[in-house]
Amino acid sequence: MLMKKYFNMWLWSLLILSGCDKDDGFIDVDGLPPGIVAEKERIATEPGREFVIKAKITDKDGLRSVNLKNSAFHLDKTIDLTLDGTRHEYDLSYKFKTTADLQGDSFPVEITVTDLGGRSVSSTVLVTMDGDFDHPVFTIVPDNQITVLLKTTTRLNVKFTVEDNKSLEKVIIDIPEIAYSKVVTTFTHAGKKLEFSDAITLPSQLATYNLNLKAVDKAGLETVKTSVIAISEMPDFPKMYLSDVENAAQLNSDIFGRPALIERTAAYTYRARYYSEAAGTKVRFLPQKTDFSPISFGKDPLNPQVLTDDPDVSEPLVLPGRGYYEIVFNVKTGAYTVSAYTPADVPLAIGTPMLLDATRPGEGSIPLEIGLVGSGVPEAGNWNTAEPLILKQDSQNKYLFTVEMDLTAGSTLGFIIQTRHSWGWWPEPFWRWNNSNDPETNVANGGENPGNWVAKTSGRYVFKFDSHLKRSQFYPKN
Amino acid sequence: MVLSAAVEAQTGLTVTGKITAAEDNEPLVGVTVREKGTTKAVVSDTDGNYSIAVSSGRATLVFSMVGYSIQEVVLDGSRNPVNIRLESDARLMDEVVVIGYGVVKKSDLTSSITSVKGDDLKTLNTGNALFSLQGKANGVQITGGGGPGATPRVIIRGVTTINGTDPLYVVDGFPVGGNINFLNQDEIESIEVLKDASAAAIYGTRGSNGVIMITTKKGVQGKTTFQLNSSFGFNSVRKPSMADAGTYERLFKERYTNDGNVPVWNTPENQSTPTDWWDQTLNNAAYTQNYNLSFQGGDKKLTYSGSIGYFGEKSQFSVGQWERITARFNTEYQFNSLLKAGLNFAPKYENWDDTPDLFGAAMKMDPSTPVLKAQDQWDSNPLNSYARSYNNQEWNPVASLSRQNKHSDEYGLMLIPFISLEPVKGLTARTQYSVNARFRMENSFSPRFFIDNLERNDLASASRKASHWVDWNWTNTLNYITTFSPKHNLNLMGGFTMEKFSDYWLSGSRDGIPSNHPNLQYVNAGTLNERASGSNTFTSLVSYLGRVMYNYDSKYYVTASMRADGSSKFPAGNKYATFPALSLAWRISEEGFIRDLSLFNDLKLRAGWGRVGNQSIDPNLYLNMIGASDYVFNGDRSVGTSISLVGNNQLRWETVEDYNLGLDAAFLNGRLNLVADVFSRKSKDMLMARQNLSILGYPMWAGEMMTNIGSMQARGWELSLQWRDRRSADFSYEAGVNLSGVKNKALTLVDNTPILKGGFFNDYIVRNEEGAEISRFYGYVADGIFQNQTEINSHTSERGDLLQPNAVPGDIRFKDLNHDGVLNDKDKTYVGKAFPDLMLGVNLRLQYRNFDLVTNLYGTFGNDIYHSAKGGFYGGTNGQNVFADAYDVAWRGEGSSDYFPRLSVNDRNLNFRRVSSFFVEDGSYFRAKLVQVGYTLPSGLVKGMGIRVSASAQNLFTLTRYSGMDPERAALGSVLESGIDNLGYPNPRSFLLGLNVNF
Repeated sequence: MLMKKYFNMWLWSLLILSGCDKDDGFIDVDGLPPGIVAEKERIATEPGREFVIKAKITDKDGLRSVNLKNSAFHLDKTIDLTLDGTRHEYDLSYKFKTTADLQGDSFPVEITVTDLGGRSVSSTVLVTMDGDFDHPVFTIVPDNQITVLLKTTTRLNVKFTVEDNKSLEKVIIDIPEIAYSKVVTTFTHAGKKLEFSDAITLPSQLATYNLNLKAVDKAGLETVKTSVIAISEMPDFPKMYLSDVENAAQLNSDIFGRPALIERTAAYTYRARYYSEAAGTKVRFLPQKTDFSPISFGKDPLNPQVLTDDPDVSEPLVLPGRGYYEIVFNVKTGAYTVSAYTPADVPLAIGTPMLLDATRPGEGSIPLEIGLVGSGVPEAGNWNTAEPLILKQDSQNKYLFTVEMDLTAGSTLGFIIQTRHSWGWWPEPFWRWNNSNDPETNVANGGENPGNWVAKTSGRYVFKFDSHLKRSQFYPKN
Repeated sequence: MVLSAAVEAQTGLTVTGKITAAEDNEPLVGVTVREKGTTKAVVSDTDGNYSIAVSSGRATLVFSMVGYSIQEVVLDGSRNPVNIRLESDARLMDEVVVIGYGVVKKSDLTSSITSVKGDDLKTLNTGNALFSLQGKANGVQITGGGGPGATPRVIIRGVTTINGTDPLYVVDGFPVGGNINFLNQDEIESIEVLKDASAAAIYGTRGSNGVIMITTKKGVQGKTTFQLNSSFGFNSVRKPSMADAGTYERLFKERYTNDGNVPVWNTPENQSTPTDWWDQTLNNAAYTQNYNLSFQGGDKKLTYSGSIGYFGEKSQFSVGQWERITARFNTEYQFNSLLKAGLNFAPKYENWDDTPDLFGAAMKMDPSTPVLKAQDQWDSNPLNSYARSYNNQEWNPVASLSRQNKHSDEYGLMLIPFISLEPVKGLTARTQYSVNARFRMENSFSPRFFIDNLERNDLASASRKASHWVDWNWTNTLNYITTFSPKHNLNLMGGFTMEKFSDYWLSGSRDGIPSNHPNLQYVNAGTLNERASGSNTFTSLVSYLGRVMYNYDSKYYVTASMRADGSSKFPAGNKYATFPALSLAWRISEEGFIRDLSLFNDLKLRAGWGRVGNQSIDPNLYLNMIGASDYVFNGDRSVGTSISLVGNNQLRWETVEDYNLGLDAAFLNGRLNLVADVFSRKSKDMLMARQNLSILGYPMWAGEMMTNIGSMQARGWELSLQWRDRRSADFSYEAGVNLSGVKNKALTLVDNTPILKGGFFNDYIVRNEEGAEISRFYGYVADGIFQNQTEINSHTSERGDLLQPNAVPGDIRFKDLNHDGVLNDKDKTYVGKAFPDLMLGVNLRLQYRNFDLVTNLYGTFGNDIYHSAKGGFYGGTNGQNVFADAYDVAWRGEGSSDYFPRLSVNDRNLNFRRVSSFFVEDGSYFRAKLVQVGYTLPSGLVKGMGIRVSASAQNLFTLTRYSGMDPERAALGSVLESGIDNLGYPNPRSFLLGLNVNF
């Protein structure tokens, strides 16, 4: 009995002593709660922008976890700090991106740190939505090189549009060589937008000037654009473009292909080949890509037999029917001809059998199809010729191929035009580009691979490829 | 029989007595004592005593018990009690078992051999007898699917090579190919499975996957008896529950709207008649029938047997069938006491139409699409009248069915003549020359049709292939059996064999046949692309073999064998290899100290070791070969040649070393039998393709060389329990349970590089790596569904990087297993395995009066299936049709599901396109393979005839949690990529009626 009594005492003692320990064997060092020192107690950001919460966290007993919480952000993140052994210090650096449609001005993010002893401490970092991070953007801007024709009264129509996501402070238009400077402080769209259009009279002599545009927003962020203005006699433009759109916005909203490059056949002489999809299509010719100013060649209303260059005067050429046209003109004399023609090359026999392996006919065939092969192409594989976005051959024009797709603003894509192949081979024909980033023509069975093209706006886009003209256009549908 | 007393017998007399075992005078309990011609019967008690009231003093008593010979005693009216000594039944303990190049008594076996009698096989209606073996031969994993002419995958004791798992099939001593569809199972007397190397090593280079020996029925002395076996029934495949057109449309559109897109729904608004594609493509019932007439008879000089059989089976589709007509005549003639000769003559004819693989298409096809286009769109080609799927790229399965046109005929003749000479007692010389010749002709026609630009064939084509195979085998053996002084028993065998396998084929085809008319469906009608090809392949094998079997007093056994094989598949210097084996057994029950326990009727411990080989490889791997190869120069095709195979002149055999430890036991007067084995098998020099050095400049397609590199290991166990009892004259039953498990491991692979198998959206499903079990699924761990944005925002690295930046609520959360804050390949792990932990066969047989019941159950446990079509059937990937409940179970708001993700057309989170545990399901199943009820008509009803009728259900029910069509079919695949469900032909449920007549 005595032995049993002593044994029971020993057992109870053991039980009580063991109960003094933490259940996981943890022993306190200082028994104090953790420390949090936030790098910034207030972080200014904006909806849809990423920000970083930084803090120095310490605990001599060892850290168990950090929790960041804000219900409006849908944020409830717990970082487990026990995975790599006991940590006594932790440099919190947690990035978070709010949604673009976030409503509200300020949001407290609660940081709760728990140590291995189970003690917690909280701190709050206030995140406000009043930050401005975006520079003003020139959505329509003069070309880098502007040619102004020397006339009795030489004028430059300066047209541009600048926008800021928050608020513009001022926009400065400056031509230092003629001491022209104008500061605009009045804006539309709640102070966010300026659509500038002004005719500046320049000295009527051959010269070169710099046109400087500077936009500054209320956060002090600025954007500068510079163009070189050359006052010249009618130049021999190295490139000429055909436009079939009505306004400058359409020239700038495309991913590429608007206006369309035409051929320079001799000095001052150009030949435009064009497919008119309907009777009454109107076309003009531009030596610059982004605007109808300062030069736009069109029919001279006073003398319809010649072209004139003044955008405010010239009228578009009207093509009388559907079909291919060839327009030859001379910018110096203004002489031009318009004639319809029928292409001599054979259109692609879409749908006819194509051997999968030309050297082994027994492997079978698939119908010939072409499509867009690349990356970021909706409803198509990633650089997979077995899964292209198929181009539909126009029922009226066998040279014309079209496909539509939905793109979101900011999305990037790049592709070539390629014959489909079930096994992922890369058979001819295919068409790449004369220039990766700003394609102007297609190169059959050769050329450069695409760049990373960016959709400027969200919506439905049209891609058109003309196998006869070897030209493509990629632009928003509406 | 000993009568201990004489008594007076009279009508109404009760006869008593005691029943003892003749071998040890121990009382026997459970002996049935029945008065012949009546239904009176009693069973002896625990002291062996019995008491039965007989109707006459001249009655006949029948004493019967499993394991003992039946005795009949005619009462003479003067004996009571009637004491009986029952002799043990030598047929049970000394049942003859076929081994390689000989036979032995079952009690003398030293290696692991399973024997299944023909009567146990023929209860199942099947075109391939191996299906009947499932669950009955322990350690033999038989996995199959349905369809006419289906052949199961057979794996004996696990996997030790990647170069084929087929065992060697030997029919009446003649090694045949890897398919025994040509055999009518009514012709089979027994099947013996040689499982360990100590048994299979006598087959040397072909024994590494085990050997299945089939013995056909032979003639017996006595009057000629006839047996007619017939069965007729139908198969049906369970119809999956697919979405109707309305549900399909809702789900289809929600995939778009959930992603903020406008649905691209192409079904015309006036299209109001939905299509049940399963019903349109498959028939509810597919008929199967089996008829066989056989006979046996003979006298002291001549014994003979014969059978003629027909087996026919239709597929569930309107095309696809298999028919087989077989005959077999076996004769043996004893010229005198020295000389015996015999001939097995077995002609056969098969024909089949290929069964289309359209289960997947019938399930995926758009149900809003009609079968046919509107009638005003039909033209002169009826194959053009079918409709194109409105909303996905699936080809119209009914249209595919109408174009299916491939037919094959095969004729075969197997001849096995032999002469046997016994010049002195115990010494037998035997020579057997076997020939197996087959001829097959395959014809196919691919018609011209145009349904749509993406569903068309512009060139009708026809092809024909003629193949014939001629194999011969000359086997010569010398066998000597003797007993001396007087407990030493010796059995010696030596032999020499030669074999040759020849394969000839020629095929031709043309395209551009002007019409689909049946009269033009021949190669000559083609106008384009004439093609012809053909080849011969020969392989040969020459072997020397020997075996010594010795036992002392039937207690201590030793068996040693050796085979030296020379094969044409290997280069000079490596053509020959030897394969030794040794096995020992101790029949402990023959020892006095065990016998005194009166516990065991038999107890034997076995141990075996052996080496076996594998030559299941292409016959030309040691040769450097060139082949036709075309080049394109300046856009023109130039015919040329190039290296097509880089040979390995050091090629040698794969070898498997095998250890086996076994225990055989019989208890309770032989009613309970137990067989237990553990084994370990390890291969070396496994042939694998190794990349040649790039510097050698070989073309890409010949850049690999087969090299003896790999090693695999299979370790496992088997336990069989068999209970047989006769409770009375009217009631007897048997119950058998077979349990086994095996782990297959890859030990050495090429350059320690994992073998990746099973493509899945530019990734792989199965990863086989060194030191680990083979055929395991390797992917991400699906960790439920993101219920809200907060959960997505919390699934980040500790720096705040979103682990799944494309996820939205309703998408699957994948685990960042290594906690590195990035979800990538390093987070993949093994999420399932294809091979089971346990295989279970349960076989029951009951007999009550004239009724009998046979039940075979089989299952596997612990295996998984990668249900690769699950994404499509629950997510509508590529616009395919879905399971009927897919719309309802999809995530649709917080808390609605933690398993099935939301519907999405873009699937940017890769819910359905990332290899993950979401697709892995428990593949365990337990299936009633056969439930058969039979009734034997009373013997007096039809004079001289025994007639039994039966009704059977095959695959009556399957217990499983697997959501696909058939867990057994889904478990198939090559050994390195098993268990991926590819929507193959499932095992059908069958209902059959049978009639057996003996006269």
